[in-house]
Amino acid sequence: MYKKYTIKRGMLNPHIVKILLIMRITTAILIVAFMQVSAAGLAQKITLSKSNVSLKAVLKEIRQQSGYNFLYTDNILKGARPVNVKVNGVDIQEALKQIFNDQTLTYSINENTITIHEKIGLNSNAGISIRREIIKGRVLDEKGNPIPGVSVSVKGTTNGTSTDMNGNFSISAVKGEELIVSAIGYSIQTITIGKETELSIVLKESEAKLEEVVVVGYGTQKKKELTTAVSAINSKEILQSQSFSVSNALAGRVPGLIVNQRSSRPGNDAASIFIRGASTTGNTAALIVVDGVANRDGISRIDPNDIETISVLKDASAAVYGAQSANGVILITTKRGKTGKPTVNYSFNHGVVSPTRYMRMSSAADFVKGINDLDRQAGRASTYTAQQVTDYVNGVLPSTDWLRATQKSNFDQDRHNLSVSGGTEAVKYFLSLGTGTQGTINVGDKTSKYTQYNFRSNIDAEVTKNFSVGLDLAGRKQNTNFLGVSDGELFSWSVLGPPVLPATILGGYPASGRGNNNPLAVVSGDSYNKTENFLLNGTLKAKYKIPGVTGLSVDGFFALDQGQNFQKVWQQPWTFYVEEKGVAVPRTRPNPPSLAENISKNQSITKNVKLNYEREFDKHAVSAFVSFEQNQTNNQSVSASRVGFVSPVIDQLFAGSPIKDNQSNNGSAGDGARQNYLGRISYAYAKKYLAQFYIGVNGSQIFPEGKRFGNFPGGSLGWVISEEQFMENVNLVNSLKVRASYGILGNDRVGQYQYLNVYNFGSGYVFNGSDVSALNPGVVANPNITWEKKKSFDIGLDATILNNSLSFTIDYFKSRTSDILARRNATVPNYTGLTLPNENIGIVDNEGIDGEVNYNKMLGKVRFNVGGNFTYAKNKIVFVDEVTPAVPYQNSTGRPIGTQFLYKVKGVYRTADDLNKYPGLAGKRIGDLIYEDVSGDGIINGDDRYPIERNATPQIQYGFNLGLQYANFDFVAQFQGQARAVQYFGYLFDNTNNAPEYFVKNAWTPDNINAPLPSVGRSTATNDLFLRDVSFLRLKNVELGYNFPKSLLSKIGLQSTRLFVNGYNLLMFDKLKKDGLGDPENVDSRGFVFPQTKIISLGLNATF
Amino acid sequence: MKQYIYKQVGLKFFSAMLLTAVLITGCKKALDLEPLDSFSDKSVFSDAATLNLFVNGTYRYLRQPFSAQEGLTEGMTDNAYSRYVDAHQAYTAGEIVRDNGEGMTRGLWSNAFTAIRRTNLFLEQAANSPIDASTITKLGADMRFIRAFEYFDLMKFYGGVPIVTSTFQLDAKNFDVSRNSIEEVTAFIVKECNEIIPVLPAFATAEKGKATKEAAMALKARTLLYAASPLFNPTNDKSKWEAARDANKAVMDLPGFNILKNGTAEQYFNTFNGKDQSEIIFARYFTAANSQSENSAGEGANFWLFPNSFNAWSAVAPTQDIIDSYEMSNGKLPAEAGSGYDPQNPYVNREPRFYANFLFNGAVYTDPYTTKSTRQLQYYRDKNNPANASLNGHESRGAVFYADGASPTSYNFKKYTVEGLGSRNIGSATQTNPWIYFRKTEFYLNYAECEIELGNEGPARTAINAVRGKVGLADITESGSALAERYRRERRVELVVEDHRIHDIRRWKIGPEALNKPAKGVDIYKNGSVMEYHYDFVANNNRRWVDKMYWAPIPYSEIQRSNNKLTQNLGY
Repeated sequence: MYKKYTIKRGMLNPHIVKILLIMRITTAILIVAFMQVSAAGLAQKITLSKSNVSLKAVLKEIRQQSGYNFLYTDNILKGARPVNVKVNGVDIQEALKQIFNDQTLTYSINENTITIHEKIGLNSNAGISIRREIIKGRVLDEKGNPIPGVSVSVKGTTNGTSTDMNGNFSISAVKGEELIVSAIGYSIQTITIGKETELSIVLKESEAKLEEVVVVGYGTQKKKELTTAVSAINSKEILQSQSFSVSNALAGRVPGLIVNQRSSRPGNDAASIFIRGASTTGNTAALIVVDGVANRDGISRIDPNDIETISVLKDASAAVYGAQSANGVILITTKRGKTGKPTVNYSFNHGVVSPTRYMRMSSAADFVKGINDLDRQAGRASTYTAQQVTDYVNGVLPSTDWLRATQKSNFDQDRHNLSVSGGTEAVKYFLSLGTGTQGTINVGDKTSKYTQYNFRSNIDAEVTKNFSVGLDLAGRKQNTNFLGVSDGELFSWSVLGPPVLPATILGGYPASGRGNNNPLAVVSGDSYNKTENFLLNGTLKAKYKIPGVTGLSVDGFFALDQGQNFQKVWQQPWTFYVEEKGVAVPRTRPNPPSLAENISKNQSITKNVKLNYEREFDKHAVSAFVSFEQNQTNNQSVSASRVGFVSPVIDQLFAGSPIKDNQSNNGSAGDGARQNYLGRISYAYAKKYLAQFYIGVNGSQIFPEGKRFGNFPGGSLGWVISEEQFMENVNLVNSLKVRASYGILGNDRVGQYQYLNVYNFGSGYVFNGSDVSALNPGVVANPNITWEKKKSFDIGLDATILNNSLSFTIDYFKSRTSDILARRNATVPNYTGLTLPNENIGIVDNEGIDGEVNYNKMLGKVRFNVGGNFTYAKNKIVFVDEVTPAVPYQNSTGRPIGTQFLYKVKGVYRTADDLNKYPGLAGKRIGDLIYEDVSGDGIINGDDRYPIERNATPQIQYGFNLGLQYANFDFVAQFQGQARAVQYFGYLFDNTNNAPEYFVKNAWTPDNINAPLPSVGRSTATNDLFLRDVSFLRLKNVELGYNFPKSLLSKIGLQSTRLFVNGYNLLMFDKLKKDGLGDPENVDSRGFVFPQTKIISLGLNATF
Repeated sequence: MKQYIYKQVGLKFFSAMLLTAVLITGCKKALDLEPLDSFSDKSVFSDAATLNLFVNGTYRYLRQPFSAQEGLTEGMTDNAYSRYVDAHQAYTAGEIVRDNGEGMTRGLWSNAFTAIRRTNLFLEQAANSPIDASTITKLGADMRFIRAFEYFDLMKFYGGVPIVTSTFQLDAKNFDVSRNSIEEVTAFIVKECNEIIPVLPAFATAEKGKATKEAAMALKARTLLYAASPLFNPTNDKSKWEAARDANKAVMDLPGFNILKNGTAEQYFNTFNGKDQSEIIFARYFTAANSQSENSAGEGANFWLFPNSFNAWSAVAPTQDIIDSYEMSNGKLPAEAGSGYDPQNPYVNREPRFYANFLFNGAVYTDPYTTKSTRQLQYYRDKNNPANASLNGHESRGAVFYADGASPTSYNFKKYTVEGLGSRNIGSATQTNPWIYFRKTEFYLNYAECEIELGNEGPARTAINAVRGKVGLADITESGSALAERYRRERRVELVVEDHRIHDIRRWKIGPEALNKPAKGVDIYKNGSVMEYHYDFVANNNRRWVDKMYWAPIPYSEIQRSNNKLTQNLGY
C-alpha cells in the first residue's frame, strides 16, 4: 500500500494527474483559456451557414474561425436549442448575437474567452426561476498542486467557504454570480458562475500576504492597510504546537512576544507572555480577548482546533480595550461557519511526553564525600566511614537516582476534536467538540491526570437583509487531578532525595525516603487534590444595518461568562516500609485523614453597543464607530473541611469527625466593574495615505470617584509608498509602507478599595480557651489612587520585494509608563507600622525592536518557505521608590526592572595566605568564595554587590522556521531561542538534601584545592558565580505531514486525510547541559517543579 | 432633494445615537461598589463589638515560638544546637551583620512596630468614638499593654528604639525619627504599665489569655530587671536594681498563683504541658483553630522538639553543656567531687527537673509513632556494626527509621512537649499547651538576682531555695561570687527552652564563655549489653562570639529609610 503512493522523483504526482483526469471528464471545462495567450486571429470575421445544428457544433466552428475559446460545461449545453444561423464576414459579436438570439443561454466575452451561462433574472416572467446550485471546485496553484485554505466567496454576499487540505471547496451560488477566490500569497481571481457546477481554478502567486485580513481591536483590517503594530498567527501554525496550552504555540513565532514555558505540569503548562517585554514594575499581564470579550478565558486551555487566528496588538492600538490594555492585547478569534455543505473534521493526536532532561544529581559516592566534607567543616566526626565511602565509590553500596526512580521516562497525552461547519446564506454554523487527556510523570501514580472536555457553537443568522444575529456558546470542563501533596513538595522530595537512601526495599516496597517523604509512597496513598473547573462563555450579538444610510449600522453584544470551580482535597496517610529484621514493616505518615472542599463561582457580564459608519467615496474611505462597553464581575466562594475520618472509603464531608474542632467552614465574595466609552475613525485616501484616530474614556471601579475615569487617546498614520506614481517603475519593490502610531494606554490591575481604610478578618486569638475573631487593618487608604499610564510610540515598515517572494516587517517601539502603581516599601520605614497601598509613583521606559522576515519560493516541485522573527526589548527604570544607596552603582533607577545586585566572585580562598590577603564576609574560611571589594573600602559587605542588568525574562527572543511542501508531503521545523537572560542556581546540601553533582563535584575540599566552587553546603551570599546564562536555542516544533491521495479516500467517503508526526522541544542548545543542570526555561532552577517536557506525537486529521 | 437625504440621514443617525445613549446611561451606577469582605473605618470604631475584634487582632502580635523553628531561641545559646536555622547558626558563628539581624530576631522590628501602630491608631480613633468611655478605656488598656510588651521586646534586642505614640500619615513629608535611650524606653514601659495596672482586670476575674493587672506588673518587673542588668546599665546604677527588686518582689508576692513544693519530675513537667497552669501569670493559649503551628500542618512544639522516631527531626537539640548543668539528686553537679556521677551511666540519680526537661538514652516516654506505647528511648548505635540500622536504637543517628532526623547530640527536649501526641496534630487532637510569657517562678529568680546585685544575699538565697524547693532540692548556702554563679546556673536550669537564656547571656555579657566553644553532644554505643558513652562528640564546632552581638543590628534598610536619623548599634 505504501509503495503504491510513493512519489517518484521527477514525475507528476500520480494523485494530481488522476484528479486532473477526473476533472476533465466530468466537467469538461475548457481551461485552455487560462493556459494559452493567443492574440492571433481574433480580429477575423465569422462566416457561418447552419441550420438545425447543435449549439456545441456551432461554437466549435466559431472557435476554429476566430481563435476565441469557449468556456462551458456539457451540462449547460444540453438544454440548448438547435441553432439556425447565417452570417457572412461579420464580427464575432454579431455572430454570437444571432446564435444566442432565442437561447435560454447567454454569454460573456472576456478577452479571448467566451463564457457560456444561463440567462438570469432577465426573463423572470418567462418562468426561468433563479436556481441555487452547489458549485464544487478545486483550487490549484500554477504547478498543479492543490491549495488548502483558499477563501471562496460569492461577491456581494456574506456567503463564503474555504478549501480543504486538497484544495476542494463547495459553495452555493446562483448562475451569473461572481465567485471571489483568494488566498494569502496569491492574486485574487473572480469567476462568473455559469452552468458548470464543477470548477478547476488555478491561482497565480502574487502580492504575498498583502490581501491577508488581520483581526484588530473591534474589527478586521487588511494587512496592507494596517497602520498599527499587529502580529498574527493562524490556526495552521497554532496546531503545529503539540503542547496542550495554546500559549506555548506563540513561542518564537510572533515578533514582539517574549514567551517562556515555565512549567509542563499537565493542566498548568501555560507560558508566561510578555508583549514587548515588561514596561512596568506593576502588573505585566497581557489582556486576553476571546471573540471580542475580555477576560472571559485565558489563552491556555482553549482548544487550539477552535482557533481561527490569534492577533497580538503590540502598540498603542491596544488602547481601545481600555482598562487593562497597557501590556498589550491578545485577540483570539474562533472559527465560524461558512456557506457550503457541511464539513466534518476529525482530528486526533497521541503524544508521548518525556522530560527534556533530568538534572544530574550527586551519586551516593559524591554525596557521602560531600557529607563527610560538611562534617570536616563543622569539626565533627565523619558521618561515613572510609570503608563506606570506598564501598559507595566502588558500587558495593547502592546509589539511588531519585529523579529516575520516581519519575517515569514518559507518559501519554491524547487530544481529539470533532467539528462540523457549514451553512446556508441565512444560517451558518461551526460546532466543535474536543477532549484531551494528559497523564502523569510520577511512577506508580494512579491519581494524577488532566482531562478536558470542551465544546463551541458559533452560529450566525441573517434574519432579514439588514438584521443579523449570532449566538456563540463555548463551554469547557477541566478535571485536574493531583496527588494530595503539592508539586513543589513532591518534586523537591525527588530532587533532594539522598542517594544513599533506597527508593524501595525488599523487592519493591516503597522505602521511607527523605524525611518519610518518598514520592513512591505518596502515590500509593488515597490522597488526592482534585479540581473541576467549568467555564461557560455565551455571547448574543446582533447587527442592524440602518436602512437609507449606506454604511451606517449599529451592533452590539451581550456576553455572559460563568465559571465554577470545585476543589476537593482528600488527605490520607500514606504508607511506606521500614525493614526490620528482614521484614518490610509498614509505617504511615501520621497525619490524620482530612477532607477540604471549596466551591467558587465567578460571573462576568459584558455589554457592548456600537454605532458604525463605513463608506467609500471615490478615493476616500472612511470607517468610524462609537461604542460603549461595560463589564461587571462578581465572585463567591464557600469552603468546608473536616479532619478525622474513620475509614478512607467514604471521601465525603459527612463521614468526617463530628467534633466541632475538626470542622471548619468559610466563605467570601467580591465584585468589580469597568466601563469603556470609545470612538474611532479611520480614513484612507486612494489606499495611499492612511490615518486612524481614537479616544477611549475608561472607568474602573478600582479607583475612587473622581479618579475613576481616564482618557486614552491615540492614533496612527500610514503611507503606502508603493502606491505612489514614482514607485510604478520600481519593479523590485512590490509593496512598501511606513506607519507610525502613538497613544496612551491604561492599567488598573491592582487590588480594589485601596482608597478606603478597610478592616479585614484575620487569624483569631484564644481567650478562656475559646476562639475569638480578629479584625486587621488593610492598607492605609490612598484617596488619590488612579490609572497607570503608558505612552506608547511605534514606527514600522512593511515591505514585500522580489516578486512578492520576500516580505518583511520591522518595528521600533518606545514607551514610557508613568504613574506606575507601586508601594513605597523601599522608602517608608517599617517603624511607621504602615501597610502601604499602591501609589502612582513609578516611571519606566521601554524600547526595542521587533520584526519578521519571510521568504517563499517554489524550487522545482518543492514549495519552500523560510522565515524568522526577532524581538529585543529593554526597559529602564526612570523612577522607582528607593532609598539612596550607599554606593552609586546600587541604584535601581536607570537600570532594567529586575536588575540583581550580586557579589562579584573573584575566586575561592585556597590558602591561609588568601584569607589574609582578601577581605571577606564574617566567618570566612578556606573554601569560601572571595568576593571582589567593589566599593574599594577594604571590607566586604552589602555595598560590594554590583548590578547585573539581566533577569530570567530574556531581553532577546527569536524564532525561525523552515517549511517544505512536496507533493503530498509537508514539513515544517520551527526554532525558538532567547538571549540576555540569567537565572540563579542555588542548592541545598546536607544529610537530608542532595545537590546537583555539579555543585558537589566542583566544590572546594582539601583534596580538590583548585575547585571552581566554594566548599559544599557553605552558605554563600548571592553572587555572580551561581548566576547562569540561560540563553538557549531549541527546536520548538518539527512536523512531517502526509496527505493521503484523494482517489483512495473518496472510496471510503473521505474528502481529505492528513497524517503527521510532530516533535515538540526535541532539541536544545544551552549552557547548562554540560553541568547537568535543569532546563534553562524552568522557572525553579532547583527543579522543584514539574520538569520541562518534550512531546513526540502522531496525529491524524480527516475531513468528511 | 439633497437636503432631504441629509435630513433622513440625520434622523437615522440621531435615533441610533439615542439608542446608544439610552443603553449607556442605564449603567452609570455600575462603578459604585462597596467591599463585600471587609469593614470600613467608621463601622470598626463606632461599634464596641467590632472594636473588640480589632483589639483581639492586636493580641496576635504577641509572638509565640512554636510556629517555626526560628522561634526557639534556645538554638542561639549554649543550651542547644539548631541544625537548620541559618539565622541561629549565623549568630552562634559570630556572623551577624547589618543585613541579617532580622533573621535572628525573627523579624521583630517590623512586627513590633506594626502592633505599636495599631495601638496608636486605636488611641487616636477611639478619642472620637461614640462608644462609652469605660469600654474604650478598658480596651485601650489592653492595647497599651500590648504596645508596652512590644517595646520591651524591641528594647531587649536593639536597646534604645524610637518611641512612637502617634500614627504616621501616608502623605507625610518624611518619616524620620531618632532613637530614644534605653532609659527613656524603660521609663515609657514603666509609665504605661503603671497607668494601666489600675484599669486592667485582676487575673482572678479576667478571661484567660487577656492582659491583666498581674501581667502588667510582671512586664514592668522584667523590664526593670533587664534595665538594671550590666548590658543595659553599664554604669551599674544601683537605683535601677532597687526599682527592679521592688517590682519583682511585688510579682513574687502576688497571691493566687501557686508554685510547686517538693514536686515530682512529672508534676514539674505538667507546668509546661498545660496540665498544671497554677503558676502561669500570662500566656498565649491555643485551640484547634488557633494552633501553635498557626497553619493547618499541625506542627507545634512536639514537631520541633521530638526525635526522628516520633516522626520529627530534632530541630533544636540540647547540648551536653546544658545536660551537665543539671545537678545530681544530691545537689552536686556531675562534675563535682562526691556527686556520685558515673559518666558511663550518666542519667541516674539526677535532679527531677532533668527528667522533666529532657529525653535521653534510656528515658521512658510514649513513642507516638513507631510503637505507639511507652518505651525506653534508644540513642545508641551498635558498637561493632554501627552501619547496621536494625541493630541501632530508634533514636540514634543510625536508626532504621529516618536516621537523618535523629538528634545530633543524642538528646531531645521534653519540656513543652505533650506526651502521647504525635508530631503533627490537627483538629481535636491539636497540641494546645500554652506558651508561657510570665510564670511566678521567674520572679523569684528575678528578685534573687536583684538582691544579689544589691548585696542582700539572705533574701536572694531564700528566693532561690524556693525555686529549688519546687522539686525538693537541698537549699543552697553559697555567698559572694559563688552565689551569683549558683544563681545563674539555677536560672539557666529552671528556665531552659523558655526564651530566657539568649537574653541572659546578653544582659550578663557572658557571650565568650557561653558561645566561644563547640556545641557538643554524646555518642553512645551499645556493646553487647553495655552502653558506652563518648563525650568528645562535637555537633557543631563553628561557634564564635563577637561582642557586637550583644545587640542586634537595626535593619540597615530602616536606617537608610530614616535618612540616617536612626543610628546603628556599635559594630555593625
